[in-house]
Amino acid sequence: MKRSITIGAIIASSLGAAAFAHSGATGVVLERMNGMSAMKKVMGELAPMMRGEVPYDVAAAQKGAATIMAHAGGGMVKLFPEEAIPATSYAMPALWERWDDFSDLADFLESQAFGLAMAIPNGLTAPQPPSPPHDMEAMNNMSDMVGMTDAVAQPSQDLTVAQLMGVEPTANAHTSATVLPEERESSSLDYNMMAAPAAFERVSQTCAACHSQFRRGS
Amino acid sequence: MRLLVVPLILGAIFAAAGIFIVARWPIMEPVTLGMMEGDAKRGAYLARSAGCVACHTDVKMGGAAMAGGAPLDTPFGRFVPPNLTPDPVHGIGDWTLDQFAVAVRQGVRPDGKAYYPAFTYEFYNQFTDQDMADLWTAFRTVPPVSVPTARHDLNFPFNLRWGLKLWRARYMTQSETTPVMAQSDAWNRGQQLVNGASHCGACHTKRGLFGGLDANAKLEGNTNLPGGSKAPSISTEDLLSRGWTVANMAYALRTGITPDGDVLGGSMAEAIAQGTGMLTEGDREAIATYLLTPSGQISVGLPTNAAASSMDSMAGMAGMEGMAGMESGGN
Repeated sequence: MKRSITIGAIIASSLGAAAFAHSGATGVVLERMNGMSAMKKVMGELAPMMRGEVPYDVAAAQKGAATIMAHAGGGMVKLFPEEAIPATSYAMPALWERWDDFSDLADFLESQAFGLAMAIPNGLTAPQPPSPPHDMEAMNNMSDMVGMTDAVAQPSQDLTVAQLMGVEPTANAHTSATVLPEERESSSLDYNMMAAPAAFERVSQTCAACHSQFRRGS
Repeated sequence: MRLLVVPLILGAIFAAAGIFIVARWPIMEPVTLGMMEGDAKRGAYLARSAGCVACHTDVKMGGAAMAGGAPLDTPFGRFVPPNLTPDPVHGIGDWTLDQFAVAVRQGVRPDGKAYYPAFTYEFYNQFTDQDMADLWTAFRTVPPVSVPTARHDLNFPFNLRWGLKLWRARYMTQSETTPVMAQSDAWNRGQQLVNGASHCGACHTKRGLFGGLDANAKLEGNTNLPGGSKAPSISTEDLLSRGWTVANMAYALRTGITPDGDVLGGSMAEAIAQGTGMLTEGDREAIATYLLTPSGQISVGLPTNAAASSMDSMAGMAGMEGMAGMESGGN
C-alpha cells in the first residue's frame, strides 16, 4: 500500500513537472528541456551556497558539478538534431546556423563544470599558494598569470578607465565564454587555486553566452 | 472639378507651412559649461553604468571601443548606434562639451535636430554639469576611429526627422531621480541608477505605437524588444513574488543566475556582461534595494556594508554629492 502510494506520487509529480515546464514538448525537445532543467536545478541550489547564505556542502556541490558535466558537451549537442523547430522549443534557428559556436559553448560548459569540480574542495575562498616563489623570475611569471589574481579578485571592482570605456578587456575577459572562441584561452586558468564561487560564476557566464545567442525570449 | 482642386492646393500649402514651422521649431536649451574640468574615472564609470559603451561598441563583432554599435532592429526600422570616438570627421572629435551636454541631456544634435529615442537620452536629463564634464573627459580618452557609421534605415514616416519634434512634445518623458530624504543612501542611489543612468525602463517599460514609454506601466515588462527578446516585469510586487531578494538580485546582476537557477539570456545577458556586471557590488545592491522596496515604504533589510561600499567607491555620478546636500541634480 505504502509502496503504491509512493509510486503514484512519483508518477504524479513527474507528470506535473513535465506539464508545467514543457507545455507539450515531446521527444528530443522534451529530453533537452529535461537536461536544461536538471542544470537549472543545480544552479538554483548551488547559488545560495556560493553566496554563503546556506552551509557549504562539498558533496552536494560535487554532485551538482557532475550533473552539469553530464548534460553539457557531447551529451548536450546530440540532443539538437537539425530539424524543423517545434513550437514547444525555445531554440532559435541561429543555433543550427552557427552550429560550431553552439557546440563550442557546449564543450566549454563541460570543461567549466569540470573546473568547478576541481575548485569545489577549496570552498568559498581561494587557497594561498603553498610556498612563495624563490626567485625573481618565478615572481614575474606569477604576475603574468591572470588566472591567479582573478581567482581572488572580484571582477567588477577597480576597473581602469580603459576597461570601463571598452578600450581594454577586463582581467578575466580572455577566459570568458562571452568572447569569441578564437580569443579564448581556457588553459591559463588554474582551478585548483580558484575559489569555488569564482568557478561557479564562470559556469553561469557560459550559460548566459549560450542563452543570449540561441534561446528565444530572455 | 475646380471645387476639389482649390482645397487640395490649400491643404498642401498648409501642410508645407506646418512642416516648415515644425522643422524650424527650436528645441535646444543653451548650455554653457565652457571648459569645465572632468574626472575621467568617474566619467568612465558613468559611461559604463549608462550603457554608452555597451551600445556604441559592437562587442560581438570585435568592434573598436565606442566606434559604433550593433544595429538595433525595431518595428520602426533599423537604428545604428554611431561612432562616438574623438575622430573629428566620423566621430565627435570636433564637438564642444556644451554640444555634448545638449546631446546627452536633451537629445538634440549640434545642428539643432532631434535624436531618435532609440538613444535613451530621456533617462539622462538629470545628469549634472559635473557628470557631463566627467563623461566628456572619459570619452576623449578613447582612441579615435576613422570609420563612418552606417545610416539608420527607417520606415516612412519615421524617417522624417522633423517629426521627432512632434514626438518630443507628445511622448518625451523626464527621469525621476530626485532624492527622497527618508530613504536610505542605497535606495536613493538605486533610484538614480534605475530611473536614470542605467535606464532599466528603456527595455522593461513597454512602448506605445510611436515608441513612447508607457508611464502607466512603468517597469511592468515589454514583450516587444529589438531582436525578439522579452523583458519581464520588474515591478516590486512581481519581483517579490518571484523570490527576489537584495542579495540574490545583486548576484544576478553580476552572474545572470535567477533565484530558480535559470541563467538570463536575451539582451539582459549583454546588459549584465557589458553593464551591471562591471558596476560596484554596492551599486548592484542599490539597484536591488530600490527595485525591491514597495512604494510608500522605507527600504530595509540591506546586508551590512552595502551603503558604505556604494559611497566609498567613486560611484560614478555627481548626483551622490548633490544627494548629500539634498539638492536635486543641477541641470
